[in-house]
Amino acid sequence: MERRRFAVLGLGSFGLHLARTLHEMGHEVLALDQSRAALEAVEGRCARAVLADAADKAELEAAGVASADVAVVALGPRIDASTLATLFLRELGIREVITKALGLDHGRLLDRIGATEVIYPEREVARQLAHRLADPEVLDDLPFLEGYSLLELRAPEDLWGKTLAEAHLRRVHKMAVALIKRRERDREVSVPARPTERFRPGDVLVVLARDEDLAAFRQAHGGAA
Amino acid sequence: MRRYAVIGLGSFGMPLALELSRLGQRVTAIDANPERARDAQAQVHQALVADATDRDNLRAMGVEQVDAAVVSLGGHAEAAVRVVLHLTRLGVREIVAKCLDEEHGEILSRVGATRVVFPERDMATRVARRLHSRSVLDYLSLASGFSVVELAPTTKQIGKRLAELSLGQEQGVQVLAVKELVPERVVSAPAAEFVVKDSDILVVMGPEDAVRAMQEG
Repeated sequence: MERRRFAVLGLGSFGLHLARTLHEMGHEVLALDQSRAALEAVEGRCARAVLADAADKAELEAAGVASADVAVVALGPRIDASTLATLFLRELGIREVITKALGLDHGRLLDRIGATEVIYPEREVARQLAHRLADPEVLDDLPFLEGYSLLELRAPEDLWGKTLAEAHLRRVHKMAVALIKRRERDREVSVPARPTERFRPGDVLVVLARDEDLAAFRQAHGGAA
Repeated sequence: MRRYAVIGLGSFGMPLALELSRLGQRVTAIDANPERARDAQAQVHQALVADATDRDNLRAMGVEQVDAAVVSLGGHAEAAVRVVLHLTRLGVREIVAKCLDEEHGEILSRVGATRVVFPERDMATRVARRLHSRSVLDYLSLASGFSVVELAPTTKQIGKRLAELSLGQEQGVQVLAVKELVPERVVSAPAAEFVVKDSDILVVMGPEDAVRAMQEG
């Protein structure tokens, strides 16, 4: 594994979890915050924790931020601070700067001043949840594969006894089966979708599909699922 | 079409209410702040100004008739707990609540939330997974221990057929789709004979452990 150097500016819920997770993955993490209490929460769970004001370029430099491969700015409710920090990080020559936006307008501003990526945690998670709630069969929609969703389908009767390879879901219906959920001795088990796996009555398939392919599948298999 | 109450229209509740509405669902959006309720008004079935921590208000709005309620009250941890408790007592079957930290999440579950979301943490995990390896372009953790990653092919993989790539197929890892750049399109459920080009992006799914092993290798 390639060990990368990260600077995480701001240790709210997002920054804190990010810093800890990257550290656990074996990367070198420099964590920055203005509050001592916030720094204590990452103590021993990152390479270095520094008390600094991210909106002050001199303090950022002194903290050694410039050596990071990637910097992540997650400065909570202050638009001015996260905007300035993003600008300074770019000026210090950090190639990848990822900034958490507070709203769409803030995001546009961040784009303009050179953030390589802008993220909207609440908005993204909210939209995913909306899709899952609106269609209870949908487990997740894939943010990077627009128009596709991951959903649960009952195995249609005409496929019982056939193997996954024989069902030709991939070729005919453009559907990928991720796994099969099955009850065995009163427990639900997840069975990997191997080509040789045979469908059984009561199986629930977790599939990735587009809406239109799904509709065609349902029609072809007698409106099952 | 299902009926929803979205209680709290901040940076989580607002996009949620609008997206549900866009998906054709019947949404009652509730906030104590008139300005926020007004912002939602044109785009949802009904927008109401009310203090949801008051159980009588919830009942008066007919909240017990919704199929699902979503509670996201920003930094007001205690208010969220109260609202979830009221919803539970009113018999709302599906209650989704946004939590501020793990403990808050546990409290919400104990008073009856059927699902707790923690957007900041979930997104942090997703970003961390992606930053972990240069070849991982995006990462999503799915239900039941499965994950999906978007991968740039390594130099060794370019020019090979999908069937020849050792991605851990025997553990259930599979290529769900290939995003082609020229011309820009998505090939879903690609055939085993598909030949990987250097401009392609592979969308791969499998059990969490197997996907992680693939990234490390």
